[in-house]
Amino acid sequence: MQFDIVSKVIVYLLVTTSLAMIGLSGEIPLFFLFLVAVGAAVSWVWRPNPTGWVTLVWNAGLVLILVGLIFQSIVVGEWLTHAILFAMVMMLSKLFGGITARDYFQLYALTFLMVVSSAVLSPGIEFAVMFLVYTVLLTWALVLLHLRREAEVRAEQLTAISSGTGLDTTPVSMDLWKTRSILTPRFLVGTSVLALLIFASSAVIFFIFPRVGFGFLFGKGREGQSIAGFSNKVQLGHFGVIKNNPQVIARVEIVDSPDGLTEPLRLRGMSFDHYDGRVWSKKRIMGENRPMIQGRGGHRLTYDPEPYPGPTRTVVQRIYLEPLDTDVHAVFGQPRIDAVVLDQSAISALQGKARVLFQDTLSQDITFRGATDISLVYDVHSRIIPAIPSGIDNARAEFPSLVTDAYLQLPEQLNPNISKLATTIVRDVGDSPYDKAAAIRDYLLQNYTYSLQGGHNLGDPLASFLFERKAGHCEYFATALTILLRTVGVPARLVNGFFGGIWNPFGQYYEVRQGDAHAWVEVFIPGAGWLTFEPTPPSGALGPPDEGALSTLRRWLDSLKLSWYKWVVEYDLDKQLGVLRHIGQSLVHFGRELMPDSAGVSDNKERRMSLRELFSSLFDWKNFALIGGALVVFFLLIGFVRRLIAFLTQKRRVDPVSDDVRIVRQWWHQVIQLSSKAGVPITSSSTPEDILAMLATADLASDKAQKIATVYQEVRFGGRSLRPTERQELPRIVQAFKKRGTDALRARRRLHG
Amino acid sequence: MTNQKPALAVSGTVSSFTMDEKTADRLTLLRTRVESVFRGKRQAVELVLVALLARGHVLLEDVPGVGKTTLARALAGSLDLHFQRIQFTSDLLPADVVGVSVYSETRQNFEFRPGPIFANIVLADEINRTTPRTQSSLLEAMNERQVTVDNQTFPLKEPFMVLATQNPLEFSGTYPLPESQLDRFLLRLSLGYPDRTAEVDILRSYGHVDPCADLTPVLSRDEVLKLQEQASAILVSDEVVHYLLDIVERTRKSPQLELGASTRGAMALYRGIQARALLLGRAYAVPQDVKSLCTAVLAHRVMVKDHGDGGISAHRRAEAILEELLDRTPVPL
Amino acid sequence: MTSTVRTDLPVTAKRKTLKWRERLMRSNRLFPRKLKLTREGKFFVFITSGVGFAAINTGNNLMYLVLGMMLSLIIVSGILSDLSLRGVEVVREGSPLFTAGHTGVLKVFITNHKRWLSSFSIETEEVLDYEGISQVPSHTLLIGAKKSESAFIHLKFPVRGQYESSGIALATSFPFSLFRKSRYFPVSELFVVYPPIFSEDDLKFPQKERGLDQSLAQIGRGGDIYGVKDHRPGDSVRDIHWKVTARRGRLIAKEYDRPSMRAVWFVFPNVVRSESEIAAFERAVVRVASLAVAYLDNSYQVGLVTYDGVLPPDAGPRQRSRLLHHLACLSTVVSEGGPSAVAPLAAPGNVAETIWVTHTDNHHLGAADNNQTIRVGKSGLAV
Repeated sequence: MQFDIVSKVIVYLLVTTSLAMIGLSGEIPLFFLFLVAVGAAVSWVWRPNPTGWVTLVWNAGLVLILVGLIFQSIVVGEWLTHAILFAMVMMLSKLFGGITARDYFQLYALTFLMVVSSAVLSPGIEFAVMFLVYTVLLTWALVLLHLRREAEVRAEQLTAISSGTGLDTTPVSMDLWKTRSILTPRFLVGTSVLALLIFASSAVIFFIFPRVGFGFLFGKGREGQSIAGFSNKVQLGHFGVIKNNPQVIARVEIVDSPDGLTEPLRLRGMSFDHYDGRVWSKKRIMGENRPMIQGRGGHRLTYDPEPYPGPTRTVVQRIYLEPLDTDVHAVFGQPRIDAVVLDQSAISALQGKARVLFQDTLSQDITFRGATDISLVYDVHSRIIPAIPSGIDNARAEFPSLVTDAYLQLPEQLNPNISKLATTIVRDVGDSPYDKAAAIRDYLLQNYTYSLQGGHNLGDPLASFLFERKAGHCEYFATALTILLRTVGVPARLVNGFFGGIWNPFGQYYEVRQGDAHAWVEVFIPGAGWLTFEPTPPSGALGPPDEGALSTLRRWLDSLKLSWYKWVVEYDLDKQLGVLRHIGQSLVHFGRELMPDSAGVSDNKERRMSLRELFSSLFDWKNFALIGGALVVFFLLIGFVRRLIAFLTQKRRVDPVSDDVRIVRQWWHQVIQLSSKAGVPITSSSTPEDILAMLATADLASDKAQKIATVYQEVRFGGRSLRPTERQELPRIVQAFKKRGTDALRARRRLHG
Repeated sequence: MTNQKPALAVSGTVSSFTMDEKTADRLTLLRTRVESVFRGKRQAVELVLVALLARGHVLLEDVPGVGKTTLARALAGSLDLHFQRIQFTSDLLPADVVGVSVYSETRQNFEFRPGPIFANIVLADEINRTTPRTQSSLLEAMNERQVTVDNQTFPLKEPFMVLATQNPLEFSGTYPLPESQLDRFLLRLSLGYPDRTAEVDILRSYGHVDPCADLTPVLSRDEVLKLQEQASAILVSDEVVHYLLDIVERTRKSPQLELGASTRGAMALYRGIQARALLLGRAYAVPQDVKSLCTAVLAHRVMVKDHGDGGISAHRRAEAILEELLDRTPVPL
Repeated sequence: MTSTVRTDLPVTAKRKTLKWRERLMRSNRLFPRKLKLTREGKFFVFITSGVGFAAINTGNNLMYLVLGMMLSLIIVSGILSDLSLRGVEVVREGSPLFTAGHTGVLKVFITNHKRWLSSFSIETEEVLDYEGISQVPSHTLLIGAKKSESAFIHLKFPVRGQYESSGIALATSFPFSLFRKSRYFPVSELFVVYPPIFSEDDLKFPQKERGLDQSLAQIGRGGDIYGVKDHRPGDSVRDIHWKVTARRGRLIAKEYDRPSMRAVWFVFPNVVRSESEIAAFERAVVRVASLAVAYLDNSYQVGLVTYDGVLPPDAGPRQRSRLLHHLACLSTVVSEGGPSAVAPLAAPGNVAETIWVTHTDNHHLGAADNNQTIRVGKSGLAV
């Protein structure tokens, strides 16, 4: 393999990878990236050797660009972007001009700068793949740089010693490398393994290195995706569009319950009090928007105007939120939210001070202040109220005035049939608000069907839904229940959120998608507080289904994304200590299993982990799949590079190496290998005669080697073909030689002890 | 490796004869016969025979009394070739070498009396003791293989080989051959002293037997001519040619050499390896041929940098540098 | 007057003072290894600390990943360079000769004793603690497992003398040129460096020097007539022996004997009065060497007398080696009284010519009349 070609390929691949990583971050305008890519491609074929004044002009131009960029960054800000732009221009300059080893090193440094920048800018999982590729390429590139540097230094020294004058700066002639190159395929394999080792060790160091610092410059996330189903208003009739959108906006783990919940996931977002006949909005902000104070353990406790007295189940959700549109500040969680936990990095990510979370005392909506276009992780502690709540059989109907003021509002032009309908439904139910709510809910469930089709009368969509079409989507159902209850004097409100989600068994979390957006109702029950009522038939409540083999693959990839986020982007001291603790425990138990005398007696039998569990957690097929994926990328890369090099070197096989020559070369090669293993000082300039002489001196079956050598030389240099007898006989002689050689080796070793 | 270099059009890509066993045997016999008479270094005999088969000349650098004459006479005797010795002295004239036109009174015209150079094997002893003019007369005749006297041209005998000697130790009134003339010699070698057993033999038989007395020729003159022709048809494969040229190229690129081997040097080496292959009974050349002959063929054709002193030490340095080169040049596998 | 005679080592090049680190490394028998950062290595470490600082400060985990990569590169680099040097043995071959100011070549044989692993980018270098030595270490790209390679070190010594090499250093900066790891073998060797020879043209011979202003063409005519022969066309007219020609009636020419080998002695008192004279003294050494070789080349037998010993006159390359060796190892005797304070040198026996060489201005060396004195001036040539 020619050194120049290999070097060029690797360097250009390195540059391309670094440009791709920057491109992925989205920080640099694509147009500029394209320009640079074109420039790089031009530099592949055209390498001008500029004279003095051209270089001067070029350098002057670079200085101008630098000054311009500095100015621009002062004016506009975003110094990082401009620094990256300048680095790219410098890279182009090096690609066109650089020849010495130092130039190449500077070029590598520039690509490295790109990589570091993209680490800061885009922490997506694509970074992982590209990082692997970059590591491998950088390893190769550094080895090639080393070879180039050695040749340069040697040429300089030789010139200096013979001329006695100064050093020569003409480009190094690489003729030495072209004759018998060190770049054999075996060498490339060796360096590839080296590269893989480096990548693996990088990962190990990553996990081990203690995280002790505090971040003050968190990465900027990607641009937020708008959650179309959410805004500060809900307008009937405009919902259906996002119902089939599978885009994941949050991932929810259930802490302490790794297999999920028994009932569907319900995430409450925000509630609305005012309905004007078409649009729900939040009008009455009569409650206080109080900051949630950080309590013990970082928990920020909620305010509940009417807590539920009965027994509840506590569920802790860990919610990984994707970057959102700036409009929406809601904090999602299962009702009823007891506490929200944000850790320090999340707080600093929100660029807030201690007061980042706020709760409205009236609507109990929790919002956060600060940037929304970032990924966020937080825990929600919720108390799940059982389906059949207890302690509500009293028929009290006393509502706090705040509640009635806000949540009994009705539109001015309400169709009178609506209140008539409500009265009819609750006639025989009694005075209990709960019974009334249940009755109307059941009525809706039984008599109305779920449909995404529109066509409701936009003038009075509710009436159209209730009396004409008798079908609609969840907003209609929720609006109906809310308004009907209000007409019979029960405070109720419309709630927006997410319902259902898809359980991802690979990562053991819920995927909450745009299509899971949902609307339901909360009703104020004296003595129990705001209780959730679901008027929409089950078929319509859930989001789009997700079945099939393709979706399994998709789910696996999604779980990878979450793992990446959890274990790399969000890796912190706690997780480190957790991992160390885990390993420590496993080792202790592993040791205990091995030592028979201490077996069996253990205080904490609950926490004891059997050997099988340890193994199964290590040899999780998921981890294997991950490693396998990395190796696939690795080998693809090597294969690609090899093929590219072969294509470029254009091996003109004029006369194909005949089989015979190949065979005899192999035989002779075996002789050489064994002889050198036996300690015969064979060098690359040893002819067969030299080797035979050395073998004779070392008494190593030189007669057999002689036969092999004769046939080898006759076929290789004499141009004749192998005779059939030789084809059979020679391999045997080679084997005999090998045997004799290994015997001698063993004898010698025994002799020397 | 071969795929990337342009194909060379050289003769000998197809072997135009097969080495028959009889010839191979006789060459071995020739070699042993000469070696038996000249009991010095085996390698020297091999090199001299290579020069003969390659139609080249040999420059022997040696102290007196190591058997140069014996070698030359043994060679001539084994091959049924005419042997002539020219002892060069400081007052030797060109005419003493090539011959002279003498006025014959009886015939009233000038007759050419051929000089001692008109032989098959010429031992030009102590060539450095004679004037440059006389030297050049010999060298030109060697080159042209003919002698021109008084506008008449007389071709020399075929086969024709000159073994010239220089005494490296004696410098009194000497005219060492200028380096530019050295490349007329295919090889430059030194015979050295015989090993102990051989020397014992020599001492015991000295005076009793003339070793060259009853030498029966192994090959006839015509056979020698035919062998010379066959040598030029020995197969030299591309790999071997490239190996040879790699070495030559390295001499040109070496920072220690002012001047590397010229194309003539490469050609000389090429002829040499063909001859050696033939001598050893092969129909094709191998890298070892190149390696064995390289120093003898090229050391006197290159110029060492800072060779201020010139002479023996420069030549030894050249040899050392060539050895270094050989050690570094990888052999085609 | 009292004279203190001090004999210095026959080395005129200055010895380097070793840094303590170097001395420590060499004395360490167990791990005679040295690790040095190359220029790129320093930059790399700097960047790594920068990335480390950034990672710790920002808490950006991807920076930790990048930091991991850089640390891995450094660690792997260190391991591989160590592995490359392990199990490698170096042996010097031959006994090369060096001439001051000229580049010479030393051959070494490097063996890799490792079973499975090759060694890459191995450099070998002679450890010579002297100033002014130019050296190009040998460089071998690849030495396979259980294989050997020969390699060549180029050396140029500034001044004649005997140089003691403290050993051979093996070094490699494989794989990334970030570090240079070297290993030290304390195998010492003595190198003898001849003084440089100036050619005849460069030397200016004093007018009075005899025997060398004859044209070379006449040398063949030196000596006695020992016989006659027929005069052939082409012989010089001057060779005709007219008397015999007249007697015999045809042209007869003279035949000459070979001229006898003439001998010349060089007497060179290697004494200086103080350290300041050493430069002039060295020039004188070069002069002696050049003259001696010039005489040798012109078929003289040359002998040498110094305070180190006597070399009887002889001719040929062996004598040349002896002379140069003697001059290379010539000690510098320091005596405040100068040459005259030391026992006088004399050329023994009956000699044809004696040439005295001195680096001082004084004439009084006790030379006889028919001898010549060559004073060496600042330019190094005869005054």
